[in-house]
This record gives sequence, C-alpha cells and structure tokens, in this order.
Amino acid sequence: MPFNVMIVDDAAMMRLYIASFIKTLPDFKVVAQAANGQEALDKLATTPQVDLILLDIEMPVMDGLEFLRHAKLKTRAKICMLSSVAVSGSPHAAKARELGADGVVAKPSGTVSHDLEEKTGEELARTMRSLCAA
Amino acid sequence: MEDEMDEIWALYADDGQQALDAMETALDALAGCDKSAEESHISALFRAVHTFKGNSRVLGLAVVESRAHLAEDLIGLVRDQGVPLDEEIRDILLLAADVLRGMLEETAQTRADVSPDGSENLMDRLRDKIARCSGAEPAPPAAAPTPSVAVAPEPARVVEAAPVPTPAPEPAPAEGVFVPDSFDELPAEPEPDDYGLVANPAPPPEPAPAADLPSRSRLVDDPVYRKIFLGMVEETTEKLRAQIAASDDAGMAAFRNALDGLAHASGQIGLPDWAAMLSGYLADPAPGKEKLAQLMLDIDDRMQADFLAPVAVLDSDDDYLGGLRVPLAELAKLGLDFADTPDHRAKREELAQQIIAATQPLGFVRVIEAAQALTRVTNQAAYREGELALYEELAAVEAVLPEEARKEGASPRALLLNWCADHIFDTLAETSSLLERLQKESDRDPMFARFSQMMRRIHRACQHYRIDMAAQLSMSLLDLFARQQTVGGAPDAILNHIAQGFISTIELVFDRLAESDEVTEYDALQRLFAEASSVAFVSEGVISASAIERKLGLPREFHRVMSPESVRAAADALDKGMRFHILRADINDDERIAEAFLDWLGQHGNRPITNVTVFRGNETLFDFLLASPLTEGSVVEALAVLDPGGRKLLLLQTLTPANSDTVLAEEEPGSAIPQAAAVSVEMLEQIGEIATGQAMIHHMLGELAEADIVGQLDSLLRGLGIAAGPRGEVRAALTEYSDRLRDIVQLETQLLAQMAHLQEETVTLRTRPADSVLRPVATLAQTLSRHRGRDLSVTTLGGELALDVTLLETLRGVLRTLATARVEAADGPKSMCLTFRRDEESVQVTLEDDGASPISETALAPVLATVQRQHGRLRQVQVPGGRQRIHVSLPMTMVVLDGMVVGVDGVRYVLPVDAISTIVQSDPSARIRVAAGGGQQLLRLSKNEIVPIRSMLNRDAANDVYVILSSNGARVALPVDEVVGQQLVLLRPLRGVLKRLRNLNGIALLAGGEVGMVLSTSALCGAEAAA
Repeated sequence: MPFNVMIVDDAAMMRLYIASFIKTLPDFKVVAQAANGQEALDKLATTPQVDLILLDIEMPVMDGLEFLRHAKLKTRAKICMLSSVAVSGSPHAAKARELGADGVVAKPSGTVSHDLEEKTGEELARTMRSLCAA
Repeated sequence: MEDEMDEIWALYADDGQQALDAMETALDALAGCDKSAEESHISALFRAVHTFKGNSRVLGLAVVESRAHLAEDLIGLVRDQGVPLDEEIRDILLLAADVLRGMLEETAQTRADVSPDGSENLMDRLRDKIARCSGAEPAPPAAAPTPSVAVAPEPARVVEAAPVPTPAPEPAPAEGVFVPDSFDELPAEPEPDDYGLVANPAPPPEPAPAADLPSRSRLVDDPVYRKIFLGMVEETTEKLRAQIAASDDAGMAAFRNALDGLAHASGQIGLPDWAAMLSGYLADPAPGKEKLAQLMLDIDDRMQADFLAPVAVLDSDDDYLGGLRVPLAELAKLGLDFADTPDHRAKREELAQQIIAATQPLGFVRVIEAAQALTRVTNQAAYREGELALYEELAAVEAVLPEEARKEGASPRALLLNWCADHIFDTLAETSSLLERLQKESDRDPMFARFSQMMRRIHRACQHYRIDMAAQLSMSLLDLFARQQTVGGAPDAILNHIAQGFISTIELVFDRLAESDEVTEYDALQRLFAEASSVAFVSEGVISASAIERKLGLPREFHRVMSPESVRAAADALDKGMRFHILRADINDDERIAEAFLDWLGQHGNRPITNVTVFRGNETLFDFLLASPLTEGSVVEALAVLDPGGRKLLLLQTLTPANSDTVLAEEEPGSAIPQAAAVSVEMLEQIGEIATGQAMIHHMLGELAEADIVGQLDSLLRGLGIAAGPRGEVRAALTEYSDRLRDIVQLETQLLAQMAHLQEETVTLRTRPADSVLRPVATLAQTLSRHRGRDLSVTTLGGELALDVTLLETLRGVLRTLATARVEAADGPKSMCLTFRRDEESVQVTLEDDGASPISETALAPVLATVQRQHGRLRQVQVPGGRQRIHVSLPMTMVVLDGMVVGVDGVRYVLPVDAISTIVQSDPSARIRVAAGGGQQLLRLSKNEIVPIRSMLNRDAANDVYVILSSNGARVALPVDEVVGQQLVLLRPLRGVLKRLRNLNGIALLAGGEVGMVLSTSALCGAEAAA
C-alpha cells in the first residue's frame, strides 16, 4: 500500500511539479492538494487517511507554520516542510522544527531550477521514506 | 514529460496572469484605501509578486525573476519594515506590473527567458527606491535652505545571496503618533546572534512568515502597544465608573482628560471605531449619567469586538485547559510517589480518562494518545517521559487557544518549561552521551530520535529563562542532525563538535543560574551566554562562522552570510588543506556558460562554500567562495576554457588562510582599524559633489519659481496692446506652468533633505569610536612593558568619541609609535594616560606618563613628519613633577558641518552653527573704539556685555550685522555683509596655497556652486583671547 500524501502549496504550478515527481515514487500516492493552510485543514477533516503532508511556508490565508500549529493537534500524519526558505539550520527551519515539523526540505532555488528531481528529489524522497517508516 | 511541460507552461501563463491581475487589483485598492484595509492589500500584493517570482524561477526565467524579485523586495520593505506606501512606490509597482505582463506574454509564447534590454528603467527605479527606502526614513524637508539633493548615485550594492533576517530597526513613530509613556520598558529587540556557532544562517531572500513578523501597519497589532492601550482603557473606565457613581462633577475634568487621551490613542494605534465613538461623547460638554452609562456599555461592546473575541480557528471549549487543571495536578503528584500497583494504575487510568473525555470532542488525537500512554507505563522514569509528552501536546494546544481561554486555564506550557529547566542537567548529560554514541554505534535511528527529544527539552529550558539565542540554536542543531539522519551515517565530526560546544556552553550558563536563586537580568544572561560560547568553542577547538571569516580573511561582502553548512564545509576544506578562491560570475545572460560554470563548480574536487549577489549598476553578478584543490593558475586556466572571451568569469582573489593561532583572537593589539570599505573617501567626495550640484539646481529652480513671470509677461503684453482675452489665456497657461514649477521645487526640497541625510549617513558609516585606537594601543603598551619587566597602568579618556576611520588610522600609527618609544625607554613609565578630545575643527590627543626623559628629537622626527603631512601639530613638553606630555592635533576631515553661510566683501564664509551664540544687527553707536587697545573695536551687546570685534574687512561693516561666535569660553563679534542661510556642507581640507591662509579650517562647496571658506572659530576666538 503506498503512503498517502497531501501537497499544500499556493502555486498551482509547484503543486503540479511536486505531484509529477511523486508519481515517479511507487511507494507514494498524492491523495489531496490544497492551496493554503486553511484549505488544507478543511481537506484534512475529510481526508483522514493522509500519511504525509508536504507543506510550503509562504502562503495566503493561512501560512504553513500556522497550519502546522493546528494540524499537529488533529492529525497523526507526518508533516514535512518543503519550502525555499527552509534551508538547513535556518531560522525558518528552526521555527518549523520548534512547531513540530517532522521533516524539513529546501525547495530548489536558483536561476536554473526546473530540476526538482535532480536537485532535491533524492533528498525529498529519502526524507519522505524516512518519515513514513518511523 | 512533454505533455507535462506543456501543462506546466500553460499553468505558468495562467498563474502569471492571475498573479499580475491580483497585483494590479491590490495596487488599485491601495490608492486611497483607509489604513485598516491597507495591510490586507499589501499582503495580497506581496503574495501575487512572490508567486509570480517563484513560478518564473522554477522555469529558469532569470531575467523575469530578477525583475519580480526586486519588486518583491520593495513591497517587502512596505510590508515588513514600515516604509510608507507612497505614490512613487505605487507608480513603480504599476510599471513593474506592466513590464512583467509583457514578459509573461513573451515567455509563455517562446518558452524562453526575455532579454534584459527594455526593462532597465524599471530596474533602475526599483533599485533606486529600494536603496532610498532601505535606510532610515528620509528626514522631513528643512525649513532653512540646505545643500542637498536628489538622485543618490548607485553605489555598488552587495547583498547576500541568502540575506540574514536581521531584526529591522523599529521605525521611529512619526510626529504626533501615540507613544506610550512606558516606551522605555518596551522589550528590546534581540541582539544579533554574535557568538559564532551557527551565527549566520542564511536563508534565501524570502519573507519571514506572518507569524514571526507582525504587521507594523496597525500599532494595536503590536502586543506591547495593545497592552498599553488596554491599560488606558482600564484607567478610563475606572474614572468613568467613579463619575457615574459620583454625586457631583468634581472628577469630570480628569475623566474627560482620560477620555480625550484614549480617543487620541485609539486613532493613533489604528482603532478608528474607538476614536469615532469616544469623540462623539467628548463632543457633549455636559453628558448626563445616562449617557455616561451608555458610554460604559459601548466600551464593553468594543472591547468584546476588538479584544476579547476568539481569534484562533480552533473550535475549542473555553474551559478546556481549566478543566484539565485538577487531573494534571493529580498526575504530577502521582509521579512523585510512583508505584506499579493496582491502586496506582487505577488512579492513573481514572485521571487519563478524565483528560481523554475532555479532549475527545475536540479531536486532539495526539493529546489522547499521550494520555493513553501514561496508563501503560511500569516505572517512574517512563512515567516522567509520558508526563512530559502529555505536557508537550497540551502546550501545542495552548499555543493555538484564544487568549481568553488560555488565561482561565492551567498552562501546560509553563509546566513543560519548568520541567525542562528543572531537569536540564540530566538532559545535557544524556545529550552529551548521545553525541558520543552517535559517533560510535551503528543503530542510530533511535539515538537520533532521542537526540531530537533532548534538544527540544534544552530548547524549552532556554525558553524558560528566555535565552532566545540558545533556544533558536538548539532548534537549528536539531534541524541539522535530523537532516543528517535522513542522509544516513554518523553526524560528521564538525557538526558533532559544534553540538558538544553548545552543550558545554549551556552547562556553563545553567551552572551560573544554579548559583543564583533568581535570574532578574536577562540581558546579562544573554551576555553570559555569548561569553560562555566563546570559551566553550575555543576549548572544543570548534571554528565558528566569524572565525572562518577571520581565518580566510574574507572580504566584507561575505561576512555574516555563512550558514552552518557553509561553516562546516569551509572548516572541512581547511582541514584538508584546500585552497580558497573568490570567483565573480556574470552569467545571467549566457545560459551556456552558466551551466558549464555551475557544473565545473561541482567537479575536480571543487567545493562551493557560499555565494553572494552583487549589484553593479544594472548588472547582477555573483561572487562565489570556492574551496578547491586547484592552484590559482589552474583556476584561471579552467575559467578561460569555460569563458574564452574572459568577460563572464573572473578569479577575483585567492585567499591565504591565516595561521590558526591568530584566528580565534578577537583583536590583535594595535591591529588596523576595520575600514568602512563600502564608503570610501572618494565616494564621500562624490556624494558631496552631487549634493552640491543638486543644491545648485535647487537654487536655480527656486529663483525661477519665485520670479513673477506671469506678472512680467502680462505687463509686456499689455504694453504691446494685446487684448485682455488672449492675455488671459497666456496668463492661465503660464500660471499652470508656474504651479508645476513650484511642485518641482517642493519635490526638490524633499530630495535636498534626503541627500543631506545620505551625506550624514555616509559620514556616520565611516566613523568608529576612538576606543578602537585607544584600547589596542593601551594593550600594546602594557604588553611591551611587561616584556621589559615593568607593570604599566594605562588609563584612557574620550574613547567614546566617534571619528573618521582615516583619521583614526593615522592616529593609531602615531600613538603606536609614541607609546612604543615611551615604554621601551630605559627609564620607561609606570603609568600612562591617553586622552582624546575634539572640537568642531580638530581632534586632540594627549599622551602623558611618568617616564623620566622625553623622546629624543631624532626618534620623534618621523612621527612629526606624519602629523605635519596631515596638517596637524605635535608638541612634546615636560610638565611639573617630571612627567612627560605629548600633544598631537589633527584637523578634522570628512565632516558634514551644519554651517551658516555669510558674505563678507563678496566672499562666502561658513561658520559652524554650533559656535554661533547669536546674530545681531546693532546700532552704529554700539561700536566702541578703544584707543588704548591699539584701535581695538568692541561691540556693546547690552549694558553689561561687550565683545571684541574681529573683522575680516578693512572697513566698517556696511549694515552693522554681526555674528557672535564663541569658542573655548572666548567670544568675538564678526561683522558680515549678509547672512545667506544655513546649509549642511562637507568640510574639505585645505590644499596648496590655501593652507597658508590663517583662521581657515577648510573649504566647502555651497549651494549655487560657490566655494565657501570654513572659518576656524577657535582660531578667531583664540586670537582675541590671547590679545
């Protein structure tokens, strides 16, 4: 049985991009997507079988950190921040950890960065597997 | 994949259109919206541009991204730094929206990046505005004419590729803005992380999450202002209650004052409804009891609506935590005398069920699991762990509960923090042990998990004592270790060392806390932590970010951008003896070279450490710090292969790491003063010249605006017999023209003020405290003295004076030589005093000691020559008691002087405003000639006040206008022909023949392009005093 993943990112293109990448991982399946934290909270209520949430930080309506505060109370799903501001050891990463993020992965950045698979894919897949196995 | 790329490009176009539509909608809404609505529009604006930028970045559209990025930066200043959204910003952003829309259409069609040509104007305007807004708020236009100006030159700006989110300076409240009486008690912004370890994590330039950066647009959103305002409400309602109960109007005035203050404060902190409501009551001069009672009800309603309504999205019973108070207390008690007995188990089960029953309706699954886990434990240690896990989950609930609900209930967070603080030494011991085991043992996942738990406990303990830096550091370390766990294997040795250093530091801090019953001084604790950090890191042999910077001698632009990973990478590369190179890449417009270069960075054993973005004019460049086994020559060759034209890639510098003994030394005695590389003397001169040019334009425009061109032309036309009708049309057109000219002059005045501000800022950037010279010289003298077997006591005075770095650098050399000569003499001193003083013209340094003999003339000659080259003076004297004293005086340079410009015999002179006592126009009879004084003239200011006249004229003043100057207790009256006005001027030293002129301190360019002579008031007054 693949693990069920929810993608929360305000950019539709980024959601598509991440979903495309997850399609390449046979042990994961995207079951829900949301454009902001509030929408994700609503969807969590109707999609309780989510195992893993990939969460952006900067979003309208409710940002990723605020979502994290609330979602951690009501779901057992592992939550992995996937944001370009969450670079290793950064204050954003530290804040996410403080609020209980189970994993933190930096989205690709840079001028030539339509290469999530090559740049971050391996780290993301490894983190996703590590979190779901725990 | 091709299909998906089609879909991605289609989405890019669609998302982009939506984002730009949202951007324009927000900009339209911001035009004329009230303050309360501004915040949401600005947030929407930011998000729109942020999304557009992100999408462009993902598709590798560097030019589009760079334009959107700058627009985002500008909006970020408005959103996060309190920069007011003025008409200029709106215009620029509307232009940005247009340009980006054009780019979107082009890129969506071509699926390739656009040419940077054609959007330079936008980039220029964005950069210019950002540069102007990035500093403090521009000063308001000055009443008096000031030199000044307009467009700041575009200095080479350097920003980190991943800027450190330093706390922004609190914008000063504008005049009239409500400032609480207890402003001094506002919590201080946290000091920048300065203790080295992971001092400068470097996230990309994304905005901080809203949760961390509350909007500054409404002061009421700031908890401190909110608290103060609520205090005012309470005070006012108390007076109101008293007034309702009172039998007379004795307290009415006090009540109305309080109400008035509250109404004013309401408006200022962004509560217009309150302001309107309270003002309505204030309008009634004699409200009856009934009206006062209604006011009380209205205040209650507003309190309910604005402050007491739940704000969280959590649907929670307000009494949830209050209901848990008793079971939690019982559970804590059970932990004290834990026993795995049926009775104990039954009691635990009962308490856990109470918690579960209260929690289940709310769906807090993790709280329920934690409570259930408590019923399954069989020993006290496990019970403690379970209890703590429950507190953790409840603290998470508390964090999202409405304030009112939290206030009434127990605080699991407080319990958690207390627990962690109480058990900190156990936690530290276990963490330290885990770090060792992580290096040696293989089954690491459980250890990593336990390490995370321990770091959370340390984090909580630090929060308990409000050691914020350490609290954040603990989470950063948790993050680094968690990522290491994902990679697999043991944490690398340097990361492990850093963590051990952190544990040692925290132990030192908590040891100190254990010695004291109560910690009241949190600032001192922060300092203690910083000090302890240094000690611990040195003893652990760990290299911090700042130590890496020093060791490599990194240029300034690389300071404070090293992330912990960069530090680790650099330290590792140092250990391996790799070379360090700084490469500059101009690769935005050449994807082929960019890809080849980025590939090369990861090959041949190269290890990119970090990079920064450099803006030069319209160009965006990147400086890379690279560790490599390649020699300088090999790097140059490799770059030549990648970029045969030699224009895109450049080896800027190969660094030579310092030896390790000097790396950790904070300050080498007598070492050079760090120069303000960003503001060179030449740059300061250029800014001064631009300011002068601008002032000249302002002057000319002012004259044009003041001319009655309408009246003149009207007379002319009338004289030519032109009829009233056509004259009226010409008059109307000219009036419109004149109005526009006056508008331009008004704008110019603002620019003048900004330029003056820039001049002052740049001068400030070049200043350092005199202590930066005094302390190292004192240390040097003491060290040399000890080497000679003597103890030397050194006192310093005037260390707080702020002086230009170039001047200080000269003085440093002079004082080092003098102090060395004094100390190394056979009969050297036992005590020494170094003193700095300054006036508006010069800085005076005195070195006095109790050594027996003076420095020989031969030994003194080179120092004297140095001082004289700088147009200064040096004097050595023997003072009573056998002490030696050396005076050194150097003229102040690079000072922005607030001057009064006067005209004397057609020459412009500048007098420091500080030295002017008054300006008088006197009666000729006030002038007294004293025959006994060789014709000395005096001016009678009043019946008992006479000052000597010091004239630069060979005749009497034409109109008896005198500027009364004072310096060092002496006063003179300076006759002048005219007083032109006050200006800020950049004082420049005298050169060539001008050096021979007496009573002059320097020259300055004035508005209108004239050269002004800056008079030395001390020389003028001193001459009179001597006479």
